[in-house]
Amino acid sequence: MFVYAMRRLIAIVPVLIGISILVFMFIHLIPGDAATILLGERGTPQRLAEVREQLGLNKPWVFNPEGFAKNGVLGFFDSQYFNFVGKLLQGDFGVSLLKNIPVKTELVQRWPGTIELSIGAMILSTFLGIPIGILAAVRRNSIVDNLSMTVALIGVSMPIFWLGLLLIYLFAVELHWLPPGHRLGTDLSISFKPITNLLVLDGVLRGQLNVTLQALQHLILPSVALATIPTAIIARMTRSAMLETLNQDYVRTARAKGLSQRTVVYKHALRNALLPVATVIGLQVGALLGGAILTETVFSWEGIGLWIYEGISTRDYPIVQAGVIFVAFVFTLVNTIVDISYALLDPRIQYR
Amino acid sequence: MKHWKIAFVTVALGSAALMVATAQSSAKTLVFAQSGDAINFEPGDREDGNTLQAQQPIYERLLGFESGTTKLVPSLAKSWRANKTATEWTFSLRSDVKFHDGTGFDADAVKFNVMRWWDPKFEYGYRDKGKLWEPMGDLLSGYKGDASAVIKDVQVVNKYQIKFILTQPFAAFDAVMASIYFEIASPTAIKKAGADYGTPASVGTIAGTGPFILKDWKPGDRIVYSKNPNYWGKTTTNVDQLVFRTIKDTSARFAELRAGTVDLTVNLNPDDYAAIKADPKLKAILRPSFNVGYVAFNTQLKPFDNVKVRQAVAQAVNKKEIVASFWKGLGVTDGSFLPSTFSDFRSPKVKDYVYNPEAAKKALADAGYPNGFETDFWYMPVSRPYFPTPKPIAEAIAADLAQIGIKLNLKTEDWGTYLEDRKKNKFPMFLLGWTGDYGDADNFYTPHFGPGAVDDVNYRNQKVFDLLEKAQKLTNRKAKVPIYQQVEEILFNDVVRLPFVHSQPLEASKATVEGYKPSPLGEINFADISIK
Repeated sequence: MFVYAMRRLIAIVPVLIGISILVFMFIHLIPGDAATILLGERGTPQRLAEVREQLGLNKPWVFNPEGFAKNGVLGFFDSQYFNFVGKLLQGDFGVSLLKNIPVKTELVQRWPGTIELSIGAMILSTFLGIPIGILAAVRRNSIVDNLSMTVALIGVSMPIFWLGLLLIYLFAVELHWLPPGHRLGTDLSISFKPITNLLVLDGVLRGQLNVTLQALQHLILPSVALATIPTAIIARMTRSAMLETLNQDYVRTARAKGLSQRTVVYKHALRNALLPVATVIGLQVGALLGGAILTETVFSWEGIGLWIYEGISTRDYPIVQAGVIFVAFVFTLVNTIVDISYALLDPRIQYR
Repeated sequence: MKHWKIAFVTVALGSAALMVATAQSSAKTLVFAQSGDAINFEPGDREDGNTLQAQQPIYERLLGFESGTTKLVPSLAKSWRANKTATEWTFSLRSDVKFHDGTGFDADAVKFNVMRWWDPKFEYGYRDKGKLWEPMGDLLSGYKGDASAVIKDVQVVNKYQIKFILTQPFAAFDAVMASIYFEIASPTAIKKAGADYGTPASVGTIAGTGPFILKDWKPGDRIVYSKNPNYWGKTTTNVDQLVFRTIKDTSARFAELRAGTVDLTVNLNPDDYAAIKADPKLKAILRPSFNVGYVAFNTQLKPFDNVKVRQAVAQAVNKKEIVASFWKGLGVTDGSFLPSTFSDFRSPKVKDYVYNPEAAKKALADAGYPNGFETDFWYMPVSRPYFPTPKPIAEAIAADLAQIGIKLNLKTEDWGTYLEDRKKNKFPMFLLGWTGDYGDADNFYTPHFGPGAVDDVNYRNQKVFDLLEKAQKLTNRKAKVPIYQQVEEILFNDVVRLPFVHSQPLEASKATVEGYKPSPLGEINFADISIK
């Protein structure tokens, strides 16, 4: 088991190398660079050349033959890609081209925001999606089933952006029940000094429960917006997995033994049906991180999604590279953990 | 199940208590929302609008503008004068001004700041650490040592007098120095923070002379300012604490204003104008127009190499109708590239092209295209103040031109790519615009029609070059009038950038916000604003 886990963890490394090449390639292949965006309508050729030189964008992408002539082998690798990878190996994510502050500082500061949002959405979607799926499966073809699956279909197809705005208008603008955006209200956000930047947790740690409460209030709408798609997917997956399990012989045996419906469904069927659901939940982490970009934009949520989005639109290469690699790392890590956790869900599975 | 109920009730009661608590907190905080965070607090480094607005409360320039106008008024300089040829400019400075860090403001401080912007070798310029000093390159044509640079030297005459010597006559120099870019920071603070000055790490050190002091900055979330108790000038504000919050999405920004979490916000969608007017708790704020949105034609690509075709297009588009329906009363269309702030520079001979599809069709036939033609029409992928919704506007233009047989293929691409590709002769016809930086017509004409203009329409008219250069040398506004009128007549006839709209950016505040005088230049002067 331990050896298997280690092997899986080590397998993340080549994935990350692949990602680093891909993200570098894609962001550089989009025409226009940070200099173009910076100068906007004013970008005369002369000014563009000047700014490119200042930002180090005049260096070749991958190999530098000119540098080879000057400084030998080291000069050959004096390029944007190898400078980036070289720094990355030393744990240095580089410096933002536009803001001139270390990417790491912002990553550390913004990452907890996305974690908090993702956890909120994950909890919502798991605790809503699984029961809905079970209910739909148990009462197959009933009104409950049809209704919940129709709602799930709508959930999958609803643009987060639009849903987010709708939620804001209803609950913040019209009803004034919940705040429209940000992680804390203006007053508290100024006075409160976070520790981990997971504000719900920090409120407890600092003994300021009003912070925790307000952070939770701010968390509700974005979590709901972000959770719709995963909830729908999890519900549908649970339903089909449950249906399959409920038709199996051992379930019929259990029923024939005279066990209650409850014991049959929850003790016998659910545990087996959860296996594919766990995989889907793991994969949904990717969807959450992707959806976070839209959710964070609508709700002005200070997290990594909004940050990467801004990085892409301003061609701030170091931010995009670091952000995407980090997200990819988390995604692969979570899915590896899900894979390993199969053993816990299903004792028959043994790893070698 | 019982525990759940108890937990639920606790949370509900807690939330209610909290809402009451929030509602009762101090009233003299003004929350302002804009679409992006500040990049840094380094004056003279960047041209990004959100960054400049964030710097504005804490810094001041040598000259300022009278609130709500483009008229120059004294600020850190009490008075200023130029020699006859407009090549030497002397500013007399106030002697009673202190920076937020307690150090005194004087001519040495001004020179220190100018040297950072202008001299690539100046040790405190930190160009190797990523400082760009963009405005000096763009507005004053370059840095020390560049052949094109406007500034030749900067000299401290005495403790409170500073003199700029220019390489060429430049009549708008005072207006440029008054623009929001050239703000003065404390040399002591800069030396203390080094290359970190202006970054989040240096927040305690950042010091200007303005009516507000920077207290806290959490990038992506908020910027907090407090009123400067030792401010040298007079202010009418009663705001003790000013907070900037970043809300990227336009609809979300408007939603926060309506929900009451924001007091003042900018760059709203014209579609929301009616809703703001209908809401008694809100106030619509209309900023005087200082921009131009235009339809550009690449004069090197067929069929727009033919001036008659361009004129035909100008007659075939119903600009009035389109502007009325898309700007909802927040924009005007006319034949001038200059906004109405410069009405004296507009030629009485220029009357806008009248919408007349029949005449346009005939003109097109005369030009050799009796059956029209097909071409690509590019529209911007982003919303700018001059074109808030480029796509439907482009569609409306295309519909009009279809009437005279011109088939436009609508195209767009990512903004960064768009800006780059327009210079590659890829766009026969496209949408773009400009927002002015300072109150001089030169700032509208030269970047588009001057010798160093971006080659996106390939229009090189020596006559226009000469006229613009002549106007640049005149300090007397009246003397420039006939020159700019002539420029306008030529441009009107040549139709390379068809002026489409001068728009008024839409801003809104709570009804309790008072005293705000919106400036055509776009900056918000918080020292004017109070909360009832």
